[in-house]
Amino acid sequence: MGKALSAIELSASFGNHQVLHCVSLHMQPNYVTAIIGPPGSGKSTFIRCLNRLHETVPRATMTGRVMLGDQDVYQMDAISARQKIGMVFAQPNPFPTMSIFDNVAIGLRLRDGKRQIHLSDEVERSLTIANLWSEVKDRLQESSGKLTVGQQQRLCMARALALQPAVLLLDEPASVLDPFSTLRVEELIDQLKERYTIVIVTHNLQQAARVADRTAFFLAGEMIEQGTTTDLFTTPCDKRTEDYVTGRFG
Amino acid sequence: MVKKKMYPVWRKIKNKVISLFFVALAVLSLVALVSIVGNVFHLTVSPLHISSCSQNCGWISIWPGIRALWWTLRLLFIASVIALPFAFGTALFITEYRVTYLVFIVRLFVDILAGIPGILIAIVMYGFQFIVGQSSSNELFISSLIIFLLPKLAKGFAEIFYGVPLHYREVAFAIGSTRMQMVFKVLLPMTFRTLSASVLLGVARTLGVVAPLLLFDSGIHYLPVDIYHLTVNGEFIKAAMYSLFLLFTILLIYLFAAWLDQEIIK
Repeated sequence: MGKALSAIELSASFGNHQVLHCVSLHMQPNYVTAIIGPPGSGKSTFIRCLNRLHETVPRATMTGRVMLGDQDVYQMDAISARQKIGMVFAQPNPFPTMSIFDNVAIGLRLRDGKRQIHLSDEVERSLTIANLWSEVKDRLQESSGKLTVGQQQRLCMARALALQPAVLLLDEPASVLDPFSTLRVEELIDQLKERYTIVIVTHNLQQAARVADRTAFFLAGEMIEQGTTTDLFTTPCDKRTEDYVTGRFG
Repeated sequence: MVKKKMYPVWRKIKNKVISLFFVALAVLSLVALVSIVGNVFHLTVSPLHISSCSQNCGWISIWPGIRALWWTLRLLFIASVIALPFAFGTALFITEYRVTYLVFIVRLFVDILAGIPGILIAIVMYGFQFIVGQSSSNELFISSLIIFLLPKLAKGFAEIFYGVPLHYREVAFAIGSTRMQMVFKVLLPMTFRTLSASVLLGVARTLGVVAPLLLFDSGIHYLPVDIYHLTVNGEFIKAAMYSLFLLFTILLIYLFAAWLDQEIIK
């Protein structure tokens, strides 16, 4: 089951350049929360702070707290935090030198070393959840590069799911996919929310409207407004949100 | 209808002149290469052919060359084995830890050392001999090879690591790998063949080094140095034969590196 994730007064900078300004957002368990906003509004930086990936960037700093359930993510070990809060990136990026099987198993191998006994079962489980098992079960040892871009993205989701995270962060997961592959990914997100808390960054407003239960609007590093997706798109409280969702800018 | 873009005549002429210039340079290089290889073949193969047919002493002539080649490869192997871990560590340090001043300084050092002429490295080692006073010429000879090889390997490795897109590192971190795991489980397997090709090219380059090693009259057989001594002593045929071995070895190394490159492209 997914856990609630909360960002409390989160600020982030790259060197002297502050890109996030005191953002607080509660992401409910087993909900899909969409983060929308124009490019450069701090959406990706925000979710990278949630799983402590932001701190791997040179000269990147952050303040504030992130709570996973009742645990402070920044008091936990960074490695275990990233295993509990999985992430899928915009570009499908399976490791090109690894087979389909190894791409899914890599996270488990890194976490458990040689102690992992049921590796094949775990890989099958993850690929099944990612709706990819039926398509690749006969060619698990083939290079991941032979998959279509859409399949590669679902493989990346399976890789993140193999670690059984509580939260899944999706950073524009369909931005380079064709409409059919996008549909498959969106269907998958809809199924996954029964098991995981999902946070999706998207610049595609229609996609946010289709997949998200709740939506937050970011602008210039600030969170302008948040609420249920229906409310935010139909009756926004802030003029800037209204301008953005109606296409006046961005 | 798409209108064809017209270039002015002077621009066409300029392009032609530049193209001709590069073609001429390529032809010149080819002529130089063919002349060197042809000369070596001419000087080597014909006397061997005569001696092996009439006096049956072809193998006796070839043997010192093979022995010199064996010594050379052995020295290069020792130098590579010692230089490799340092080069690898240095490359990782300057690519995976990018922010500190120390990284900046190390990167600057590697860049300078990689471009510095070999003779300067040898002079430093030669001076070092007088300061320490205990090192043998052999040790200094191998040290010179290592110092010549190390920055080239480190720079080559660093360029290869830079070539790996950052998002693969991010993915590795996102699935919970440590920096060490990211390097050994993700970065190394992805770059292994390219690194191997880089080592081969570094070794091939070091194989041609002569001037810096002339400072150390150590009695070690190192093919390029032997060729120099033989030429100075007027033993041109033997020098040509050694050169043939050297050319053949370099050719083999480059072919192997090219094959690795092709495998990477595939």
